[in-house]
Amino acid sequence: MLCARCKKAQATFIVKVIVDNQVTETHLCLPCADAEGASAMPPAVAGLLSLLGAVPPPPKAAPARCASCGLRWTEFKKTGILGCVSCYDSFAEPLKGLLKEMQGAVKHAGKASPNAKRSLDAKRRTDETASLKRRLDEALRREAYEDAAKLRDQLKKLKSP
Amino acid sequence: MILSAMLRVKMAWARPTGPRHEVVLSSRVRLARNLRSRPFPLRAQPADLAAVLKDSFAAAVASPSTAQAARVRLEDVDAVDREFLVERRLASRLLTETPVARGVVVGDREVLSVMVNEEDHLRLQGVDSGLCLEDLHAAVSRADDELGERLDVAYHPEWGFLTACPTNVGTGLRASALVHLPGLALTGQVNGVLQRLGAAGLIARGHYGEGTKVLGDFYQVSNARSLGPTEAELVKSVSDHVETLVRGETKARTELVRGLGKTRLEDMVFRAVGSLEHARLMTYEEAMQHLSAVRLGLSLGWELPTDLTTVNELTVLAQPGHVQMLAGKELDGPDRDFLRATLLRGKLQN
Ligand SMILES: [Zn+2]
Repeated sequence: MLCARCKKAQATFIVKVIVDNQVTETHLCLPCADAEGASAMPPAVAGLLSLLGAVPPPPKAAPARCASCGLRWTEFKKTGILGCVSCYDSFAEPLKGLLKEMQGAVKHAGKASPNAKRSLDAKRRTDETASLKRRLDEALRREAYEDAAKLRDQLKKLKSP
Repeated sequence: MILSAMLRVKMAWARPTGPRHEVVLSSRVRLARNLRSRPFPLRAQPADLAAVLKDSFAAAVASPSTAQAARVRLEDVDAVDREFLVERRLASRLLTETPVARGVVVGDREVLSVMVNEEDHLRLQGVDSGLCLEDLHAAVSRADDELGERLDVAYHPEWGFLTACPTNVGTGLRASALVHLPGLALTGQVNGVLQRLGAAGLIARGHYGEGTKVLGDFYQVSNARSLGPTEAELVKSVSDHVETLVRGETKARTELVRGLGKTRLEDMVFRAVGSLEHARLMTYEEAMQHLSAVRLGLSLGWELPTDLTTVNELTVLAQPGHVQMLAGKELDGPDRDFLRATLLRGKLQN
């Protein structure tokens, strides 16, 4: 039997996985099995593909293909591989159902990427600046100059951390 | 050049120094990452792939964890070298079949490495001896943070790190351990044990030969999910289950050397030693069987003409690509089997 991943070498690995008491088998050659072990996961992929068969197509309103990379939902159903980051937005609805089924969760609880942390920090700073400005205006209206001076200092600090 | 030099360097994971090394050969942690602005590798144009490779190598040079690492562009090395990288678990078939604009970054002792333009733009991995998933995760995660400071990594507030295949989305993490379970296999318990792992949400894979018998009783155990739990929870879950496997295997080995089974076990192990010391032709499958038996004998503390490091290394060196690397050229089956037998004889006699 040929390897299910590279479809070139002879399969010497049988990957068995039990999902809901169903045993699924994937046949792989040694390097592919190893690459999968090191990286992706054949049993999960096999499980994904069988799930994809059961997932309804995206609703009519949703695009049939990703606006950014052009991947069709039907292509994804065949390979289990998305085309680009925007595919996650283009197919958000059906993917949400799929992730729930496959991963049992739809919310990431692990660490955030440094750039996401950076943009989160930036957002927090903008929010805080807006709130300080509001309070400063209010303090000036009340003629509470001591409070206003403190708020001004805080604003300055926020601008140049 | 670099690759032939690597053949002489001992792989960090082959040293029998890691925790639980009698049962756990090696631990591995990998993180899948992608750059926001480029299509995933399998859908990317050559120009996209080239840009990802260039940016990733530049980020690797600038990151403390990978600054000293070797950077290999797969199109710059020949077929034998590529096969070598595959067997050394540093590259995958996907990288070597289409080597243009694909690469690997290989750190000191091959503990930390990065595949560029595999199924995902970046696959960071850490491999080391014994059961050490927590430490490896810390090292890989640090390298990931450093690269993440220099690259625009795709991250979704709900779904975490975005990956080409939704089976990896979220943490992008796969923690796995390569375990040697001859005791459980010989006492007929291995299938039940693996089934329980499956029920607990883990994945166990065996390495099969022609038939249904597992080659050398080596199994890989890893987490099944990537989204939901934190990285630390996923790593701990795999680590805890592997600890349970180690206890089961150790108990099985103790039972095997008690009573009537001992002579049968000795016969199997010493026959394996004899074959490795004297055979003139040996297939990879046969070599794995014998190496597994010898490894069992060594871990029981028996006096044998070899040691665990050598046996661990031989499970890698006996692979077809490594044998060809030693020969410096591509070889036919019978030539490979001859060279493999010669290699094994040499290693066991010194
Ligand atoms: Zn897309």
